[in-house]
Amino acid sequence: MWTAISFKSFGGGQAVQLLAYNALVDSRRWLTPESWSETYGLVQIVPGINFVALALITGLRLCGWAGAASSVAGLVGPSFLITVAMTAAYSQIAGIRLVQAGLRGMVTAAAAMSIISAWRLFSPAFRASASDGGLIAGATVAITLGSSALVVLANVPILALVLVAGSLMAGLLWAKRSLGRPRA
Amino acid sequence: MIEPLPYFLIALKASLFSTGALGNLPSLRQDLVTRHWATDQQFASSIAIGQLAPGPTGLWVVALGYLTAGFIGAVLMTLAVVLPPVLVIPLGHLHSRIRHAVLVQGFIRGLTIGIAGAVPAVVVFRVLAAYGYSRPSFLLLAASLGLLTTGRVPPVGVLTLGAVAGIVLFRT
Repeated sequence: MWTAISFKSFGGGQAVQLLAYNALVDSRRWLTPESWSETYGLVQIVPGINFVALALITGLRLCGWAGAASSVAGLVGPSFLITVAMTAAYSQIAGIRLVQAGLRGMVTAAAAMSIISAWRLFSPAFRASASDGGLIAGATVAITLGSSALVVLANVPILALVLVAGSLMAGLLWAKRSLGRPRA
Repeated sequence: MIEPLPYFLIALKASLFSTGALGNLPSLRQDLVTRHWATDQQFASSIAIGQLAPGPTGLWVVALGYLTAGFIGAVLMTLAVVLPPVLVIPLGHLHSRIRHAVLVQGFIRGLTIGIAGAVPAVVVFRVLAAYGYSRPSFLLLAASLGLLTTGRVPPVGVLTLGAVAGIVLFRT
């Protein structure tokens, strides 16, 4: 099943998500909609590619380690081979001016997609912060814009940046929740 | 000359501390470009190929690995993005217990917005900047954003339109 998804999902993440839901929940009934959303929430917090984690955990739950390994191989394998083939083909024609012009256009479109993806990461985080009050919501905007500025203007190491952003938010949220409300 | 082990560790670090398809890009770019193991041009090409290829967008690093270090590079990059998700297994057991812990929630939220801020900034102001800025490229960026926000054109359609527009606008 993951192999079929890997072949069909031209255009990336959203296509994979849709196809995976259709296959796992609608047509094969291997997962209920509730366990899908719980699993999907879990894979969002795992580092690396979310869909690899999703294939791994559903494969593991359904048929053990063999299921996990074959799900991941099925998802990554075909995509890996096609990407290598496309990159090799691109290397052959990279010198052609029209190819470079087309590629530049595609990179510009991909940059727009990266803005949309970042918005999709930001907006649920902001909504959660907004329910914690104005200060936390403001901090969320400040940390996001601060990261953009620090990485572009000061070339701050990313690892340090995300660790500081994480700790800052953890500290603020903890302070807000434990100090903001008098204990009963 | 690229050394395989540091190359792999750089990729693993980038993937371990990030989320989302291009989340590992800022860290990879910082480490690989300063070592002269990759160029912004190679990053640009990899992002485009990765978006066009089927499968999770996160596999764009396969193209980056291939362009910078050949087939071995592609394999190392793939391992680096496939291994961290294995953490889903221990996290799955912990998740129900720690999901509501305020420090965990806060840390994940902070990390997520840090990545959300860094990724588009690096793509627009570093990778795209490698081509130089011009009015047509801003217009194309704005038009692609507009099309994507309507949600009526699938990503692969926007990429194709981008390619056609690129050929028209940037061929000289």
